Amino acid sequence: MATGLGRKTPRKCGPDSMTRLLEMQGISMGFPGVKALSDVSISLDRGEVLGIVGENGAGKSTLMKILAGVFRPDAGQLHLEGVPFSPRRPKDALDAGIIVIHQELSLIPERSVAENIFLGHLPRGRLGGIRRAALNREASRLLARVGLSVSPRTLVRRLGIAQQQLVEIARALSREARVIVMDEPTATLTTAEQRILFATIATLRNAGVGLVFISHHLEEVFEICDRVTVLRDGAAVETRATKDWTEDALIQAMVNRPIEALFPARHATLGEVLLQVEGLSSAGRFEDVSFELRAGEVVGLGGLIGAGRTEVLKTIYGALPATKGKIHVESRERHIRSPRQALSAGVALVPEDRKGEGLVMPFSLRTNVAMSTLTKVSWLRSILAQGRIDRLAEHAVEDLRIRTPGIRQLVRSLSGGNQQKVVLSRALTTKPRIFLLDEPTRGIDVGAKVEVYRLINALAERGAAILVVSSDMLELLGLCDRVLVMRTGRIAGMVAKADFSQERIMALAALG
Amino acid sequence: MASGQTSPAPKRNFGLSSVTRAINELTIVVGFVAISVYLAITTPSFLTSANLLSILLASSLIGIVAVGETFVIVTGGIDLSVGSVVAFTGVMAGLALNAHIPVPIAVLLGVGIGALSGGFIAFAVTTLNMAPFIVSLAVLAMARGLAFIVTNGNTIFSFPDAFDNIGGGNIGPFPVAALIAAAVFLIAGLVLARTVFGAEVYAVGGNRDAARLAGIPVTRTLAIVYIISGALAGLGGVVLAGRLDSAQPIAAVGLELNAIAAVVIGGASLFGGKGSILGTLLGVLIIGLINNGLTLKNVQPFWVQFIQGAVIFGAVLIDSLNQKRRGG
Repeated sequence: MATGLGRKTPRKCGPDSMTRLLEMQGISMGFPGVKALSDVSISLDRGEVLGIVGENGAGKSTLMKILAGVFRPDAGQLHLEGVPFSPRRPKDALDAGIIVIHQELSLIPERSVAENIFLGHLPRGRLGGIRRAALNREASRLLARVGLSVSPRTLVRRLGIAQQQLVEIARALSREARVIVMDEPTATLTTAEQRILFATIATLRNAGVGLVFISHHLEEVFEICDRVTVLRDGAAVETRATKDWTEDALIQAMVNRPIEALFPARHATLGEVLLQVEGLSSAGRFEDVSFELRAGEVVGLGGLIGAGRTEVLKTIYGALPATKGKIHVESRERHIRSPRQALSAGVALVPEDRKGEGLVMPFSLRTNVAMSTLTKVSWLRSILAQGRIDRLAEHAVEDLRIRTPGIRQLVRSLSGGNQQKVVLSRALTTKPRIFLLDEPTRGIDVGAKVEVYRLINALAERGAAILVVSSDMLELLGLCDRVLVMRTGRIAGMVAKADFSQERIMALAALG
Repeated sequence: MASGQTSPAPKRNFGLSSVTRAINELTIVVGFVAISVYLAITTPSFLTSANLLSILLASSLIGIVAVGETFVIVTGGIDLSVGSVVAFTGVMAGLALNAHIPVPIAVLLGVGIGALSGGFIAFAVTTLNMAPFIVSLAVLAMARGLAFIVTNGNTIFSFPDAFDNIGGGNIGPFPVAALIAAAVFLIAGLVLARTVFGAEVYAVGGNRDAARLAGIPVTRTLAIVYIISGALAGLGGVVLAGRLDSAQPIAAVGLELNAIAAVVIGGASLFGGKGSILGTLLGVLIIGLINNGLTLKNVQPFWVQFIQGAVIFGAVLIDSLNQKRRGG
């Protein structure tokens, strides 16, 4: 049944080694207006890594929140080592040894690594004080197990994301975890950090822990998982041993459509240089970045997380200060010092973090769309013309096919793909010729991805220049005319379409 | 699921959320009516025109200040300095009058000093990146201190009639102060709800980073709201000094609490992005009714403070529960 890393026979650790470690049977759950899960069954053995894949909205996170005691299902049963188990609160799940490591880390930045590991069950002395020596000793032992070489006294805020993730795993170990769920653990990791994580997963598996691994990166799923379950539209459509899956079969099962349809063809002709960046630097962020963007061109900006890609975009856009270098927009030198100036120079940015930087979540679609052009939908540039705002929003909904009950819908209640369309449609309202798109399809489902690709193509065909930051290799290769690769704050090289290959880009991104 | 996905709220929270939402929208009106009916039934003197006008007069000062506070709170900030600024601008206008400076200029001086104090807070908040809570707390102390320094702790009094009429005069049956407050509410209501600036205030409070990246002039917007708050506190200082025909350095102690309570009772969120001038108006009237009721019922002054505090606690609690429902 197993592939991937070598593994030992699972240790017997339950009362009856014949029963499965975890079974979730016939789980159904609905939210008002949505059927989130219908009759989903999964199982997990000791010493097994179960992969769960599916598009956004397929129900992966809901299923795991039921396991973690955050939600209670409308129907279905859970069994833990054969014993019925119905967690009512997150604490119930924790006490039963079920640890869910969420995408959003739950560490306290201002406390030490050791305190975070033992949060909620700090070793206490007779007088109720914390036994520091024991705390740090135990923490060191757990840190060694997860391969993290930092002092247990270090403040968590000084750690990188990957290190914080390892601290979360150490915390899981401190509670004698039986089941560990990792929800997109590698989304923000570098390759080296990912290797450490996978080694830790292998160690845990050999120790008899059952792991659930949720990821969008199929190659990782193939590498680390013993079995893979595909969720689609709230149902478990198929479970197979990893060796019985192929990548194509997996994608097919996830999206229910052929993969070739992902990247539509583009018929754009290259025109004049619209954006010229010369020796741009932002101290401590990136150095000496130079490139050109032509009308009709889609250029990728690849590289690892932390290589400085987002910072380059934000500096061009005036959201971060440039310390050196020149920017020419349509052959005119521009000193862009704020996003406002960038927009009036014809440069638009779609930020990476939709919730944090793209949208005002508690506001309506209408308000979010109009936000960059308030003076243009007003009388005398100061009094809002409600009718004009309505029309602007209605056009956005129509043009980008945003699925929403109406323009007054709060963006918070839209799906990720439709939220992204709101951000894109706002960028379009200022009629820019240069688009800086930061991870434009992160966290949105395949259908919405294709629509975003179509929009990018249409913009290029109409003579816009587009710079796309992406961590999705397929996207860089499938969408772009050429790819610039950044490494540690510098442009490491450029790959032309004729030379496109994942290996070329990875080599530039990671090697010295 | 990925970060952009909004998972629906857990089902079991629905009971609580619908309750808090209902509380939020209905308490304003129901609370107002309930308190009025209760007072009308239990205290015969409540429904006299003299008493109602006195509520209106007392509410005028809180109202003028609360309007400025609404702008600040909608951006997610807070201005604790307003009570002290009322006192300081009042004594400054009074000193000017006693130096035979014409009434209109004395009025402008009061409003202008208020605006300057707001500008100081704005500078610290936007350029020096200091927290509004702490900056305005510091200004609360500084303005109060200045009010004592410039007066040597004495009360300034006997102003020209033209000045006293601003706070204490009547036009027909209506107090001039209430008419000024009504004008302030009307203009502010239109500005916040109907103008580009108003939309920018909401956007900055809703998500400052997103507002900035969308091209909204965040620094300018924040600066203006603190200047508005300071200028209206200055106007409040003039009105109060006129009403009392005197200006005291200890005037309007704790006024900021009444103003903030009125804004929050009116449905604004201390987390920013939410609130309205109409809500603040209702909040001011509720605060006015409660204060009046406590006076009519001869409640001990010690209890008055306690009850006002409890009202603020309740309003903020509702805000916090609403915030939790939304998932932050």
